[in-house]
Amino acid sequence: MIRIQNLHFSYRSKKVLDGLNLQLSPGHIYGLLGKNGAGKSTLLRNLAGLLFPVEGSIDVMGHDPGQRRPAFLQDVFIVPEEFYLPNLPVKKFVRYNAPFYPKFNHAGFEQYLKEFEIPVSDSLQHMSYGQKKKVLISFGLACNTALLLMDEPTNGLDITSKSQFRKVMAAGIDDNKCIIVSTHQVKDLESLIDRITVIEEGKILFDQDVDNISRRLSFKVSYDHTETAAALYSESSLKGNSIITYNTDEEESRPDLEMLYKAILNNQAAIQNVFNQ
Amino acid sequence: MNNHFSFNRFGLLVRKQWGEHARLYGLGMIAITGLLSLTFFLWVIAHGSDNHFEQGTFYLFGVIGFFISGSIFASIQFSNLAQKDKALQWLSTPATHFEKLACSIFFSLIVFNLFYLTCFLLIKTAGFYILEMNTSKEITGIDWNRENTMIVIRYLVLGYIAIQSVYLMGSVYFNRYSFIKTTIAGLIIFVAFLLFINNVLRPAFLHGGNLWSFTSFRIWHESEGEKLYSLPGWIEHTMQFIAYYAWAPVCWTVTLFRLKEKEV
Repeated sequence: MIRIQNLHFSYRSKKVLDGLNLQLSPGHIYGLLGKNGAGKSTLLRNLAGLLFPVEGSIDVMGHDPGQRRPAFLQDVFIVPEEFYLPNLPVKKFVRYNAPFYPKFNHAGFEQYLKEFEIPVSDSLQHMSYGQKKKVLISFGLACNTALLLMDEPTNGLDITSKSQFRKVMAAGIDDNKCIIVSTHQVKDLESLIDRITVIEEGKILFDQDVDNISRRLSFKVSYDHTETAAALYSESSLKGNSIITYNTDEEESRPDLEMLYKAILNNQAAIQNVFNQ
Repeated sequence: MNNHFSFNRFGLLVRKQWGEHARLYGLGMIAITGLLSLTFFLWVIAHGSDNHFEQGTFYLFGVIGFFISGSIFASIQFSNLAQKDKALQWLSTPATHFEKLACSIFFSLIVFNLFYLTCFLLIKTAGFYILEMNTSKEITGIDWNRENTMIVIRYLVLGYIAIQSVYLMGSVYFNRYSFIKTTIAGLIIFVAFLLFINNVLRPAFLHGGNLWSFTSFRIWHESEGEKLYSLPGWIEHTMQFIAYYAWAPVCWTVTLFRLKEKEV
């Protein structure tokens, strides 16, 4: 569905993406992780055709995104971190924008808004940032585009809204959709993401399915100093030491993505080695 | 799927732009009506004890206002590209660049002009009706049947479309203060053109001057008398055609390519 080959991108002299290769398929929610300035948002905007690669190629469902052809744009929706919504009632916003997306699901949109506790009759003008974001997320999901790009979707959402977001996202995914979520707040999306891609200095540092991570790595709390010392990654917590080890017992544990992310940054070679075996 | 031009998508774009900016357009119309009323009022006051009013003068004010406000309106057509959030939404809207450009041309060239002309005719009709109620006032209308009047209107229309297309192009090139920057850029190019004619072209030719058109050149020889050099008529007609009609399509084409290159 998405094939990125040797993607290079620079903002004038500042290199952001440096020979990035990636393949993504439908039916998954991809988590794009990385430090500030690692190139996550830049990658999303390259995929949406809003930025053009300096070198390399991007193929999204057979389209070159940079051409920004309607056939491509009507099957891609981006929920950016900084977004704009006109000062209109929600109903009018939908009336003017939904017809551009042939697969738009009106009932689904109302259902998502209901889940987010946003009245359809409200005007966007009087909504808070978080409420507007929830409208945009609902609209993006209701568009039923094959590719949905989300840049820091949980920023600005309160605790309840984050839980609603997870529920809405889980309802919104199907086998034909590919959702890419760029985020710093891994915890918010831990239960949703089924593939992790870590970007560092414009390159893919790590790219694995969550199922594969669960099979290969074990996430647990240990009081055993020897086990902690031998772990691939460890950090002390009030409950003892949270550690990541080789999964030798073939017991699947739920990956702690935040800890995994730190492990990748601190002990990349060892973590990578686990998946190369 | 038609990825070049679809009337359905164009219609959706027009509806979207209208729906999202209707309030702004309404306020703009009120502002134009107010300014034209004020102009009419000041114009009447400026007459003092003179009871003779020429409609042509008020039309002139109207035309000046039309050029200025039309240029400002054209220069804000792509102002959303200056703001990242708005640009992102605009560029992501599923329509071709050509359809988006056509929508902007439609609003600046058709919708705005209809609005302005409606406001102008409203004020003109109401204003002169009130003036005519006072029998001491003498009003001279415009002779629309005069040949010159129609020629002037033709040039004004062509000039207006050309200037608007330049400001539309400027709104894609300059993210902020597009109207001012386009005006300055236009003036610089115009002055540079005049300097080029005076300082480079004229000295390169023998003493003489253009006769009636750009394709004939008259030279005075002391021994041989006056000589007239002319290029074929078709060159003159082609140049005239380009000068009259090519500005807008050229600017729109440049704008289209600029839109295609736009990144956010």
